[in-house]
Amino acid sequence: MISGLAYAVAGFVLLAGLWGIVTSRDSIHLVLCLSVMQSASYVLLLAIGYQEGGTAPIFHGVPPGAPTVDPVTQALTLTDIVVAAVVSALLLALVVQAHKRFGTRDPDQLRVMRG
Amino acid sequence: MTRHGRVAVFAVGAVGLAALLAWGFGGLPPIGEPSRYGVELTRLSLAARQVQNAVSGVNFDLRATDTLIEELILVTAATGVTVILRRLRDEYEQPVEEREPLRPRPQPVSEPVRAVALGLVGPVLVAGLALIAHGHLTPGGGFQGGALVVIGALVGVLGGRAYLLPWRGSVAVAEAAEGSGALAIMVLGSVGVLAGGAFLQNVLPVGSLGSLTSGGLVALISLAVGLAVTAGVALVVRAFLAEALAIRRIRGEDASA
Repeated sequence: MISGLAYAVAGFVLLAGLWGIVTSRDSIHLVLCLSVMQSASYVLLLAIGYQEGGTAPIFHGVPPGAPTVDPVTQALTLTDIVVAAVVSALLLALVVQAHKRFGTRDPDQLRVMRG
Repeated sequence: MTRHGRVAVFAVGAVGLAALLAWGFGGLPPIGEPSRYGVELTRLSLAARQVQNAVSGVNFDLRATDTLIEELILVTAATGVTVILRRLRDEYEQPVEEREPLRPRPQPVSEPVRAVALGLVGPVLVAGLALIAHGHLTPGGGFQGGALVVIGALVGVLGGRAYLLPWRGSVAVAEAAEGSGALAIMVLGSVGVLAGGAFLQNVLPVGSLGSLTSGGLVALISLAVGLAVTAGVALVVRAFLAEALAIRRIRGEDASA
């Protein structure tokens, strides 16, 4: 039962972020919605690596051999977060420049390309 | 396309996407059962590498090639942000005397909050360095620690009413540090090749579980990643700060006003 819930949360977060992007009226809001979408992949990865009764895969004060959650999906989640941060930084830099050039952060007002 | 039209198209697509997700999730293994790879790699981290933190063991040893590429992504992105936020032809850097300190609007931060923020700088910096140095032992590593070090500095900037940018040469230093971090991973990786193994193979002595010198390559790559991430994030933050504090249009009004 818990498995269905974690997947449902991942799917919901993905679609909620996508809804935000589609209806966004502010580029900064749009970048944050993309971050929300990317959070869905964290939920999904951590859910896949979850083990019933497992601890974190860090044996500081935990006897070796204790059941732990999957370190591979945890490492992938870390990679995921780094990539998400990088994407947000690049997009926000573009938002800053677009705001300076066009005087608006509304994505709908950015239709015309200017040199 | 009008906003309503777009929402209608999205609704159709979203229903399809939701159905696809449900179908895909249905094919995934049930949650909560031990994964064969996870159990095996955790065992390998502990027994063969003496690495307490299996997540770092995966990132900085078993999957170190991916981490090197991730590092290069970070280098590329920091370069990209610096290029996008460069001073354009019709812009100039405002002299220090004319700058206004950054302050959150509409209400400036109260003095006690600023005092607490400034007091936090030191502890946060130390915590960041500790995370980098102990990535193979306790939760943390180069990525988390590097980000925390820059956050420590940023708390100081926000609490300190700063309007000075880091001195001009700091960009060159940060760029050099970032490149050196990525280069260090490649040099560390070549040790494996020189020893007759594969690139990024952990051929260094692994020490004993729980000691600072355990893990061989893991701790060293964590340090290199920490250096590169600190420098890379600092470059990104500096580019945004410069944009907010000092870069102005030459003619006409202030673009940020």
